[in-house]
Amino acid sequence: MGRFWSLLFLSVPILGTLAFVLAIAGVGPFRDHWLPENVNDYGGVIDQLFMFILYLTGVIFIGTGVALFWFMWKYDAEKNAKPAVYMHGSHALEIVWSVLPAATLLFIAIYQMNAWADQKMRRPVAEAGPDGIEGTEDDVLQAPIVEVTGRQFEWRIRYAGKDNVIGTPDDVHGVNDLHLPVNEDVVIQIKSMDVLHSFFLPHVRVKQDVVPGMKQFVWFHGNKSGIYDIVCAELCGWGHYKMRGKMTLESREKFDAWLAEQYAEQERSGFQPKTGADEND
Amino acid sequence: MRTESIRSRLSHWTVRDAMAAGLLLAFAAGCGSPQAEFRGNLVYVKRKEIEGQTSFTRPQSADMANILAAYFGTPDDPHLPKVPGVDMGPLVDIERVKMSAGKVASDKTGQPQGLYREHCVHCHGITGDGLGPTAAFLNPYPRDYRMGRFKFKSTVKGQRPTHDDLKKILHDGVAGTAMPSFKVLDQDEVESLVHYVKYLSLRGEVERRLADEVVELDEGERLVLDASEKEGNAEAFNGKIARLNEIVAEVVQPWLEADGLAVPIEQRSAGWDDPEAMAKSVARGRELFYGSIANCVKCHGDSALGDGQINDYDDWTKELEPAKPQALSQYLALGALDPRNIRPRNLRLGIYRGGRRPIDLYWRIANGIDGTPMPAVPMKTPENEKGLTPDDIWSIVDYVRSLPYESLSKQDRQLPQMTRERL
Amino acid sequence: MRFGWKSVVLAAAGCLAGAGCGSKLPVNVSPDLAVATSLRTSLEGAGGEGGGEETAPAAEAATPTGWATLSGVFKVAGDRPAAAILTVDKDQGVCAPGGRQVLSQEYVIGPDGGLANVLVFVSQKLPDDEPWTHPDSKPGKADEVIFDQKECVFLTRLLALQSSQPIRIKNSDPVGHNTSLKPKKNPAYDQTIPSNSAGIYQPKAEEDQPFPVACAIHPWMKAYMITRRNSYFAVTKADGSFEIPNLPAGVELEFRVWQERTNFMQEVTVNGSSEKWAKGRFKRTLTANETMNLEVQVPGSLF
Repeated sequence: MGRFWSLLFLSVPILGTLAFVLAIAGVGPFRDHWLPENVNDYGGVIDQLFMFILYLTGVIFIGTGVALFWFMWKYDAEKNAKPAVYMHGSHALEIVWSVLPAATLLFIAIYQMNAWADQKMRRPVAEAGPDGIEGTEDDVLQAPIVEVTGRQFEWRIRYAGKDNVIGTPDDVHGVNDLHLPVNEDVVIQIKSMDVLHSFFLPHVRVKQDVVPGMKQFVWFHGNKSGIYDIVCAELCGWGHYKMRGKMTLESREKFDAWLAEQYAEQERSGFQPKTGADEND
Repeated sequence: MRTESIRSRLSHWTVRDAMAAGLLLAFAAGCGSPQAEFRGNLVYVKRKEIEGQTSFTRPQSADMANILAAYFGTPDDPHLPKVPGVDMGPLVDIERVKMSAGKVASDKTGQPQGLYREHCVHCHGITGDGLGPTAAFLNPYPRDYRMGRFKFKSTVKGQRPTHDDLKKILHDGVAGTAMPSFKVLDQDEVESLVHYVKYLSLRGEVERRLADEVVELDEGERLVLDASEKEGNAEAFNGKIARLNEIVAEVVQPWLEADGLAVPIEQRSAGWDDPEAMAKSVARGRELFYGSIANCVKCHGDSALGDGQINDYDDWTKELEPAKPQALSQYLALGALDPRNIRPRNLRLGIYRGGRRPIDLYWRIANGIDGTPMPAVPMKTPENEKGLTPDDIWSIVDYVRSLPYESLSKQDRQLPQMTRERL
Repeated sequence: MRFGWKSVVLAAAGCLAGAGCGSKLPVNVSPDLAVATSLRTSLEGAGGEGGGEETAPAAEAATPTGWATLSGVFKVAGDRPAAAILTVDKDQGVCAPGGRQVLSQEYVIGPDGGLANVLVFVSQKLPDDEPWTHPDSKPGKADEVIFDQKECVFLTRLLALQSSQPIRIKNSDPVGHNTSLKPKKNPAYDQTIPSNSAGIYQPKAEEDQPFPVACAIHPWMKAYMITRRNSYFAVTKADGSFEIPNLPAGVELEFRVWQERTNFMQEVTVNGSSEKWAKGRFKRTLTANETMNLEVQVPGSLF
């Protein structure tokens, strides 16, 4: 066998690098393989964190692979007659390989704190509270424009409607088809009707588990009109795969018109059957 | 010597080998994937046998399966009956049916195939009998199409649904049940599935009619004559063929008519959405709800919680004769699901299975709900002075729509919030 | 070699996986596709011509020679079972006044054994005019039939009428009812009938067997209806007697007999000799001006 095994191990960093480079370049089998386009103003930081960790782990991964190869190559039993040497360890080395990862992890922890807070805690503020200063305890938080309720296996949607309050008779109901205004902060209230789901909007980097009996909020600031995916990112039952929806980001005017149209349809109070020669479909 | 060699061989079994073998064995014991095949409506046949104090012979059952295959083909190769004098064109299109039939796949152009098996079959079953593998876990059970009856539609109770009615169900799903919305599918795909549902319904209805026919046969008589018996017996042979075609025509006819039978609803006159008029209408609706003409309260209960009549069954369950334990156990042995009572809707939840638009609720009240104990309200006619006017129905609609927002007790339910969200 | 050993076992397990899926469902009767294909050719090809003759009443060789009457009485022999007691769990004040017991009318047997509500009708298709159908029994009757309910009981347990006759479905109770008809060939009907008011139901087609009538508000209420083209039908009275007058004589007529509990009656004793009525059918040829009397004994074990 000889150095076969070391060469086999060499293929790991080589293939790893190849995959990494192809994926970043977006060619070959890795086309559109990476993160989808980010259309959220607040999503960039998530991408940065992601890429940072990816680069970091990528470098370590490739380095480890190369080191493994090198040791196997150099100390191959058939080529080396020298007996193994046993030692009692090295304090200096141990300190190095403890402190380096610790520092890295600490760095990541501090680096992400703000991102986490922005994503999960600092809900957009509608107006400053009585003290007139934004960013204090008494701020009035932006009300959710829509409530999305996960249920096996669909997303039930409920817009706050004209009065901007969810749970009133003027709410607009829908399913799987979420329209939202672009170029403004959007707050979504999410709930689950049955089991654990995860509300995932990949293009705006929003992903939040929804827990039955718990009301949560997610928010983002879309910056590009278009149709994007809604998926469930938590295995919620046999129909998990079909828990798809679509999110349409559109200008405020279009959104308002669409919502008004939905409301009119929801309040439809007359029906005349289609007449005459219209086709079957 | 021999034992030793076996032991040495066994020792070469790695954990992975054992796992692979174990998985295969588990698969063998549990489930494979048998060839897709329409299943006979054994429950209905059994019911007919009990009623007619007879039992279907093997050739009679085989005839039923063969006739159905002749008219409707197989799940992989569907066919539509071509019956003299009946134009299926406006009702079902074989090309659209084919798009939903067969195995899940897509052709060279990326056109999907086997949509029914991709999206529907695990609940509704290959045959459309509502007996897919997940059916038993759902409440309510998935619809069995084979009676050709559907609950949420614009036509009067007892009539078939329109094409648009079925399409709406696929679009919006049935809130409060396991039926999800298929809104994000391509329009063509939804259209194809509607055609496939109609196809399965027609097939199921014809099957039932064939069973009705078999019960009436004399002992040893069959639904068709073998081709070999045709010689010198042409009249009898053709007579039987004609009778079968007549059955299919009778099944198809109400479906063909249904599209023209959607109940029109006069546009509600303007002004009702002003709060004062609305409050008045809601009050009137409340009166009617508790009154003896509409009589909603009898089933939907004193608080509209759907607890007024809780021991009835829907028509699909009534087929299982839940009141007769002996018959019931026979049906259950044939694969029927445990009967459950049908509950009148709890009107305070704000969940409307057939849609929340005022016209949806209007249809439910004015037409009744097919397959369930929900009757139609009587309308005012010259013969029936006591009936309701369309305005009365609108008032009931208004009242029903106001119920989810009327608090029974004064407490507001507070959902726990993410506490740190205000940081 | 050791690979061989393993692969044999794995392959065997694989075969089991592929082939043996011990289905727990009852055996399905699969179509024979060759037969189905040839059948399809027949169904799609020849169907046209045979159709006409089937639907039109067959002009039989014999022609009727006059008119006759079939009459008789149905009696239950042997043990007479008691009627079941119904659970009245709603509107007791109206439906079970004074808390009295409400008995099921699935079978109503008189003190001398007379069985009420047995349907006897001519089941074969007859031409609508003379000499086959007497003017008095001709199709097309249009007088309204009343179907009433009082104290949460349908006053007519089995209503037989011509398919052209409208039915006035009345409610003589102070509580609301809803009446649902579930016919096979006629339009369905299910409406709330407010107290002391009525709804009209217009049947359209002939039924081959009675269909159920129910009230969802009071689930114990039950009745049956049948619509027939001509008037050659009868329902036995409380004493079990019936009479069908003006039947065509001199030709063989096929009758069917139905009762709610027994369905189409099969094994009975007629005028002392036991008869097997397959699917409730029996045949008789009457002579002109005859009144044939049938004394039918129904075994009590059927109830």
